Amino acid sequence: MLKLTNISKSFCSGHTQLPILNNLSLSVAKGEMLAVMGRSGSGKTTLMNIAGLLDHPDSGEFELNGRSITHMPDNELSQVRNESIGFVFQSFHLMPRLCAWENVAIPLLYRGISEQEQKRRSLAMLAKVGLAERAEHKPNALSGGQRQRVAIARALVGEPSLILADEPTGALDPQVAQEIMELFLTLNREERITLVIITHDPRVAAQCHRTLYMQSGKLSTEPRV
Amino acid sequence: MILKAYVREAWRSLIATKQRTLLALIGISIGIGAVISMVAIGQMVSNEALRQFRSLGSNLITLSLYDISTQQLTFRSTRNTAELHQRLSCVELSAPLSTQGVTLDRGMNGTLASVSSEFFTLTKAKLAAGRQLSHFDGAKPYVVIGAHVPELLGLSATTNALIGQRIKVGQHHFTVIGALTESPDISTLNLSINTSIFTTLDYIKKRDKQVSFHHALIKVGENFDIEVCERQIHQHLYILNDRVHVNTVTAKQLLEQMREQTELLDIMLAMIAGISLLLGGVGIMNIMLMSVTERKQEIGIRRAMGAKQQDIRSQFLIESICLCVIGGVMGVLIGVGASYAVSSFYHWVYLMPIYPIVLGSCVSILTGICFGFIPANHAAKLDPIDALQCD
Ligand SMILES: Nc1ncnc2c1ncn2[C@@H]1O[C@H](COP(=O)(O)OP(=O)(O)O)[C@@H](O)[C@H]1O
Ligand SMILES: [Mg+2]
Repeated sequence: MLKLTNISKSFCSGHTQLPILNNLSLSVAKGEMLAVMGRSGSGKTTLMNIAGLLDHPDSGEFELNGRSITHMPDNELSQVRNESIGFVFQSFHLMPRLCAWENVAIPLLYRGISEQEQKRRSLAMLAKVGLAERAEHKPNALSGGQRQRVAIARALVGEPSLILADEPTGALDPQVAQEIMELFLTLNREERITLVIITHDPRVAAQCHRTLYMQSGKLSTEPRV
Repeated sequence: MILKAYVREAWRSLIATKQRTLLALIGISIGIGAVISMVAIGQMVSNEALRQFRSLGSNLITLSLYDISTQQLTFRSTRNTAELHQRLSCVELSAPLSTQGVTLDRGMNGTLASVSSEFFTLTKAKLAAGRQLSHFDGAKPYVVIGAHVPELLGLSATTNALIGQRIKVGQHHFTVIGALTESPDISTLNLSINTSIFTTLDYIKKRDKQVSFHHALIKVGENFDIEVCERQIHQHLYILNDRVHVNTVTAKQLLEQMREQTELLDIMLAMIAGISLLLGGVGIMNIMLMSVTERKQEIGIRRAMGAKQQDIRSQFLIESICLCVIGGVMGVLIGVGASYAVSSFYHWVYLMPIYPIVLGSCVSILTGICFGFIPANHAAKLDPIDALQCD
């Protein structure tokens, strides 16, 4: 369902081109729960940005749901992001002025759905992540774990085929992190949601179906010692 | 429905930065206020002019004589004007008059006007009490006084009690026989009826041998062309005495003159409006650029959630329009207030037509679009990754 072939990406730092991704290939099956680990600065976030259509690779092929994305114009990329991809970030990235359900509704806003319908679906999604009573709360009235649940509800509300989570438990203490992990597991088991979770935490990775390690711009199945 | 969400979002973000928002709106409010008062004042001025012509009648010519020789104006030339209605068929009535500034008892300035009884018919000045001057009053020291004269003389009696009172005007002693109600000024003669004291032609002729009757009010007969009649008057008076320069003003000419004056005022207000709208617009642009910078992360999040560039552009454009509409509302209040102040200062009838308000609102929306476009476009073109990563 997600298929990256020979993706390369380098950044300019000063005068030199610094290669971050180097002929990287990755294939994720529908309903899979994949963990990506790797040292800080190894290019995990860069990979997620490319997989999430936020960044363009220098070269390589990209396929999502059997559809080639490589040469899409910006407008269509936005639409694919809106319909097929959900993001969960380490620092939640909620909008402070919007209450919980309004934050959840953002992906629906760009689909031209009526406001009642937006609210109905957002509330349903908040209930699914266990925050039905907090729908009208602003993010700063919520704990870290609750905020991440709101962010997860937001990633799920548009019923995307792929969820990309960049260190979703990185800012949470271990117990809350485990609760979030269990939420992911439940969603994956019950709704067959495809998840790519970038993490530093071996316990998180251990609960996923498969773990890949990012090193020297490539993904490998074994961590190098 | 997405529009509604944008407007709500814009409102929240403006509320969150209240002080800054209000400061940014000063320029645009003044600009819109100037646009509105410009139009309203223009309307009031022409309304005022029209009102005067309606009260005087559009078939009135005011005539003034100037001597171009060293000689004083002779009484003969003034008699010529008095007899105009006997000589020319187009002239229905001709009322010569002389005016002189006088200092009243308490040092106040008034006007002593000597008039024929037709003057009151022509100007439609109404009596509040007593009677008008008549031909039969001859050279008797009788006067009819304007509505503000008792005040100038320091008399606090009721209008009826004024009749029969003796008053001193300059070196003249008069008996009041009538008092007028408030009447509009005759701007073609520069004469304020309200502050004038009217006596007969004969009285002044008898008392002051040097007096000359510079002015006359002339009513043109109903079926005659006013401009043709004006030309005939000039010809007639020139044949009688070519040393006297005759100047005539018709209502139409005065209206045109007033229009020209309003035009000047309009140009001035338009400049004020233009400058403050420009400054206001730059202020709006500045505040919107600040807003975009502060909300970079929000933009990144929205882009990641599937907002197209156009969605971001619309959002910020709507925010700047909302900002300008608030400024527009403040501007409407300023404009309405300022025009009211101007109208009461000049004693004009207050008018606030609806279209300057509509115009002002359109201008404010247009300013929002023009000056909001650059910041909105800047927001739309941000790289989503850069926007997301900034903290
Ligand atoms: N926009 C950029 N410009 C230059 N260098 C960048 C940019 N984004 C990321 N990098 C560099 O790419 C490397 C990989 O970053 P990242 O993908 O965030 O790593 P990780 O998420 O694995 O910690 C880092 O060395 C970082 O400095
Ligand atoms: Mg990272």
